[in-house]
Amino acid sequence: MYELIREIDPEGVASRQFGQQNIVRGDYTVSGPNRILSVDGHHKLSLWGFEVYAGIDAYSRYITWIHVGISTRTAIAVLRLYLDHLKEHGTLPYTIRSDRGTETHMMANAHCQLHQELNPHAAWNDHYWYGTSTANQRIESCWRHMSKGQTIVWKVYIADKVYGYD
Amino acid sequence: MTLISDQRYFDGLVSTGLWSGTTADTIALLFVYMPIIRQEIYGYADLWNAHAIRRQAGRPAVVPRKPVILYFHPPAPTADYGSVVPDNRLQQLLQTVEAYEPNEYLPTATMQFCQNIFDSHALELQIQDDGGLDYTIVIGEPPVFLHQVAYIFLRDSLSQYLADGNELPMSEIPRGAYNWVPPPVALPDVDLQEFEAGSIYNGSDGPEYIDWDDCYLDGAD
Repeated sequence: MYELIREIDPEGVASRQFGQQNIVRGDYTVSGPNRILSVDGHHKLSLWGFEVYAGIDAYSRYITWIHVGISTRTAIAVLRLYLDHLKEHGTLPYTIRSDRGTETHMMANAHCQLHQELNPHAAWNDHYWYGTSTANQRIESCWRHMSKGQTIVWKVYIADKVYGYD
Repeated sequence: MTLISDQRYFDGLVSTGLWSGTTADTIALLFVYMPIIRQEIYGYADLWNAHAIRRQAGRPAVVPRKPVILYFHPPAPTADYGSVVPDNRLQQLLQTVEAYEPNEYLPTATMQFCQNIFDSHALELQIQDDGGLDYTIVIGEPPVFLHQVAYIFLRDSLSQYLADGNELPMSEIPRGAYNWVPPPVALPDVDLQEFEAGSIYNGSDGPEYIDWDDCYLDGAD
């Protein structure tokens, strides 16, 4: 099957090879920290049982929580990870943005219940945004850096040592 | 240096027949690599948070500066949109999922069983006093990463043990969302004596020493 596709569409296959995709990211503005928390899983290693899940603040790109486990594709696991994160940090973000995966709905519900506790009139679509995962660009860009062999490690190292960049 | 959290490393295990998804493969891979991958990925996240995002041509909205500083100390007049978590409600929600343990990847009995196998070969595997594996150590001639030797050795031991009709428990995945049934609180007692590593080799033809020829990945760097 793979051979066949390669024969029919050699350019298409080449363009999807590792490191060849150039993603054009839109420029989007977020007004401040904790305004949007972008969450998603990273499943490049899932075949072997390692599932990564993380939340990143869309304004600062600060990774507020990241977890490596065996069951982050389940709603229970994601809910527990999010609640643990809230317990540790004590800060409730305004909006969560995720893709429409089956693993996110319990977290979405809990997040909205917490907001309704603060404000009984809180509207679901103010506090939770579903979107396609390609549009969830903050976290996807983070995953991309990571799967490119942790180039960032070397960028930081070189910046520190060579340029004295703080 | 080979990065473990790189998908290509595990692709190599598959293409050389060192991983095919059997129970022994799964347990050995989780036991050896989960601590390493966690360390690498959590380390990556720390670095990411502390790295400086630079100004980019054509992207005026990019806010330069380190994520950790922007998150905790945004420049004025940027507002922080977070609220204080209502603690009572959080506790109520946490109670519904407290029976699930996110950090577990193998049950205690299986972890102990694997650890016993390692301990009984501690010298060959150069395991440190705290029981940890320094995966960057390269041993043997020609040289090979210690984690790879450990994985293959553990996998062979486990598949021998399982082929003899024994069973090892695996961690349960919390499926079912709102219909999820938490595991029983009082877990059945497991007799750890039964899992003593030496016992699996008695009278069997299982691996008793490390066969170096089995421990190389062709073309791996």
